[in-house]
Formats: sequence, structure tokens, C-alpha cells
Amino acid sequence: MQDKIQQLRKQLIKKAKKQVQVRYAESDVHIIRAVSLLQDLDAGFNLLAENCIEWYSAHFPELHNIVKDNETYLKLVQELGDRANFTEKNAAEIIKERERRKRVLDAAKKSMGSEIQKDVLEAIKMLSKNALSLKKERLLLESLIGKQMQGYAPNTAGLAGPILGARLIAAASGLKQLAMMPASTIQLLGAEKALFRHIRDRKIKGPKYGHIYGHALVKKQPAKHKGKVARSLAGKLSIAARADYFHGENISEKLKQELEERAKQLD
Amino acid sequence: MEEIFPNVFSERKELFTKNLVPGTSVYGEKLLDHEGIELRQWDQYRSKLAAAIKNGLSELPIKPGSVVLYLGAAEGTTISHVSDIVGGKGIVIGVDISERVMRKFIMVCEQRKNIVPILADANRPWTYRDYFAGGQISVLYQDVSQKNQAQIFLKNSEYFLKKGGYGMLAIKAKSISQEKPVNDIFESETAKLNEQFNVLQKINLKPFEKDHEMVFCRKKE
Ligand SMILES: C[S@@+](CC[C@H](N)C(=O)[O-])C[C@H]1O[C@@H](n2cnc3c(N)ncnc32)[C@H](O)[C@@H]1O
Repeated sequence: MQDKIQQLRKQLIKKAKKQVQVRYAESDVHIIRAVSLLQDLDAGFNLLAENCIEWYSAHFPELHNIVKDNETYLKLVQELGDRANFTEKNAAEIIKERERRKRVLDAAKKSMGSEIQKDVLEAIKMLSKNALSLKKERLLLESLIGKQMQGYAPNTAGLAGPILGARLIAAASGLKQLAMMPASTIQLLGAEKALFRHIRDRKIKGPKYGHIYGHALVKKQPAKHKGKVARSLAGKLSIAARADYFHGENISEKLKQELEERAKQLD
Repeated sequence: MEEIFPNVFSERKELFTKNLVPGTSVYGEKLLDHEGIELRQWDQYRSKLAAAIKNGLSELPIKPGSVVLYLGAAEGTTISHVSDIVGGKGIVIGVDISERVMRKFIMVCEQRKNIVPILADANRPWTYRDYFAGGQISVLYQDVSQKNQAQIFLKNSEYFLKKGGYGMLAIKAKSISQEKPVNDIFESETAKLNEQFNVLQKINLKPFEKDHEMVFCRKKE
């Protein structure tokens, strides 16, 4: 009796292992990891960038007023460092606009910032380097997601764009789940927080759309049409996800056209 | 230290089970020696079964030698203690739907010869019925935090639990409704069990778990 049970137990452990293995060989597992990492990388980048700006401003406080783009700012810190290095030749590569460049160089000359010790500057440069390498990783991930989505969920990617498509798959916890969802649920994916707030307190308005709100065509609509286009997009996405899951043909172009038609009709 | 149920020990505020695999801790819990037997600490904040015992469970249907079907195995935290209790002569079949938790759970199963993993949806008991001849289960334990938890429980009981067998169902009120008063939810969920079960005891898991109740019941003959 015990022998038989042990035999069955070993067999079932093997089977469960196999099932886990199969699941983790599927692309959506990696797509979900990558797209959720994207958000953490952005958060990490912003945090490091803020620290860097705050610190470097001791030396060159005017710079942040003129260069608002964090990536450009960090490059200047990393490659030029000391204010004395802010010359036309050094800055030309990094700040492309002439007008802005001129303002930066002027400000560098007249800066109220204090002198900075070499080893302190080195620490700040290291910070900017780390922040920039997170940006690099982000680019890499974006292209990875693009490729994976193209292979795994071409219809969803085609209609929603690879990143938004990946967000939807992640919010549904998998392509299979996304494919099984009614359009009304897809429409709200990513809006869970707002939905729960509404359920707890009915005076707070319920959300109309989640991640799909970020779709270019929805964004573009005037407020009164947003809901209709979002609903239509959710419906098409549900068709796209099903086509992807069941390995149907590529119909994303057709779906996209239909969606655009729908948006036009509203005007 | 006092043995309050077979293989379950209690000292001051803490619970312990007798370690089936001496020397190994499953999820970082404390091990200690008590008169030559090794005990594993059982944290009532991490395990609803421990919380139910703390809050006065009258009888523990999981005993040495029991055959337990455990739905919602997760990473195997509670199940490892169930495995301690049923000991070498008992067996625990753990079902979970998520591959993510199954990775860890399988490792627990490999260490403990009385646990069997099944990756399946507890809504569909027929997908795993072939692994045990019907009617052999002596205890059905369920903790899945799903909206239709009572239905899942009844379905599995129909398939596997022997008449006169025991059931333990952890009800998470918030899985059922975000708005209804918690006590109404417990009431209506428990009522659903009446067709198959006699409810023996209902235990609120406060303060260890918020808005949870453990229903202890026995299948009608
Ligand atoms: C609250 S956790 C259980 C914790 C566990 N009982 C413990 O104390 O160690 C709930 C588990 O139920 C699983 N679950 C949810 N729905 C399920 C279903 N339909 N079938 C099987 N397992 C399910 C989840 O994957 C999750 O691991």
C-alpha cells in the first residue's frame, strides 16, 4: 500500500514539475516580467536622477532650470562634470539646440554654485552613470518586449502596440486569461485601484478604462468620445487576444482599420 | 510545553508541530528541541489553521494517519505543518492552480514523503479524480480565497470526502463581496454548506487575519 502511494507520489511530483516547466517556457512569462520591470526601472531612474540633480545643484544650480530633460542633464554631469568643462565643443554633442546650449554655457560662467571637490564630483558622476545605465536597460527591455510580442501575440501587439499589449497581458496574468476575458473586463484592466476605491465609497466615480486609456487613438479623442472608442478598442483587443491564443491568422491591420473607422464616425 | 493535539504543541503564546523531517526548516521558522523531539514553530499570523487553533478550535480532525485533501496549497507553509501532524502514516494531497507557488511547493513535497502536489483548478475536481479512488479522503481543508469558495468546497466534497469525514473551510469575506457586512457573508456562505454538512464550529480568525472565518464541519452520513 505505502509502496503504491509512494510510486504515485513520485509520478505526480514529476508531472507537476513538467507542468511548471512548460508554463515557464512560454513567452508570456517573460513578457510579464519584462513589462513589470519596466515600471520599476523608470521609478529607479527617477529616484537616482532626482538625487543627482539635487546634489549637482550645489555646484551648478542654474543647470536644472535650463535643461529639464533628465537624460540630457545626467549626460552633462557624467561627461562634463566640472562647470569649467562647459565649453561649446564639449556641450555641442549633448545639447543639440543652439539657443539652449548658449544659455547653459552662459549660466556656467556666471553660476552662483560653489566649487566642488574632485572626489565629491566623482561620486555624483557615478550616480549619473548608474541612472543612465537604467535608461539603457529600459531601451533593451523595450526592444525585447517588442520582439517577444511580435512572435507571441502579434495581433495584440499590432492593435495595442507592444508595450500596452504587454501591460494588458501582465494585468490579465497571461495571454490565455486575456483571451478568455470579456471585453468589459479588458477595458478595466489596470484600473483595479480606482475600481476598489469606487466599491468602497460609491461617491467616488468608478473608472471607465484602465491601461487602454494610454492607447494613442483613445488619448486623441475629445472627452465625450473617449469612452466609446475605449469600449470599441476593448472589443477588438478581445478578438485580437483570442486570435493570438488560438494561433489564428494576423488580423491586426483589419482590426486597427475598423477601430479607426469607428473613431471617425463619431466626429 | 504541552501537547494540545497529537503532534501539536503549545507553550505560552506559541504553537509548534513535531518536525517530520528533523533538521529542516521549511520557510525559515524556528526549530527547537523538546525532550529529544524536534519541534517547528507554527506562526498563527502566517497560517489560518494555526490561527483557528489559537482561537479555540474544539477538535482537530487532522490526526496522525489522516488522509487530507488540501485545496489552495500555495507555497506549502500550512501544509508542511499538516504534514507534520498526519505523520508518516498519513498523506496530504495539495492542490493549487498557480505555477508560481507550485515551484516552491514541489520542493516542499520532495522533502516530505507524505505530501503529493497537484497543479490544477479546484473548480474542476474531475481533472484530478483519477489520482485517488473516490471516498478515501478523511479531511477536506480549503483556503483558496475565491468568490465561489463554498461551491468549490461542496464540489470537492462530493467527489472525494467520505461520509462522516471532516471539512475545514477558511472563508475570506473580501473575496466574496467588498461591500456586504462581513458577518452576513459568513452567515450566507456557511448556510450553503448545510446541504452536505453539519457545521460544528465557526471561528473568527481575529486578530491574526482580518475578516476571515474558519468553518469546521462534518459531512452528513
Ligand atoms: C491564501 S492562499 C493559501 C495559503 C495557504 N493555505 C497557507 O496557509 O499556506 C490561496 C491559494 O489558493 C490558490 N487558488 C486560488 N484559486 C484556486 C483554484 N481555483 N484552484 C486551486 N487553487 C487556487 C492560489 O493560487 C493561492 O496559492
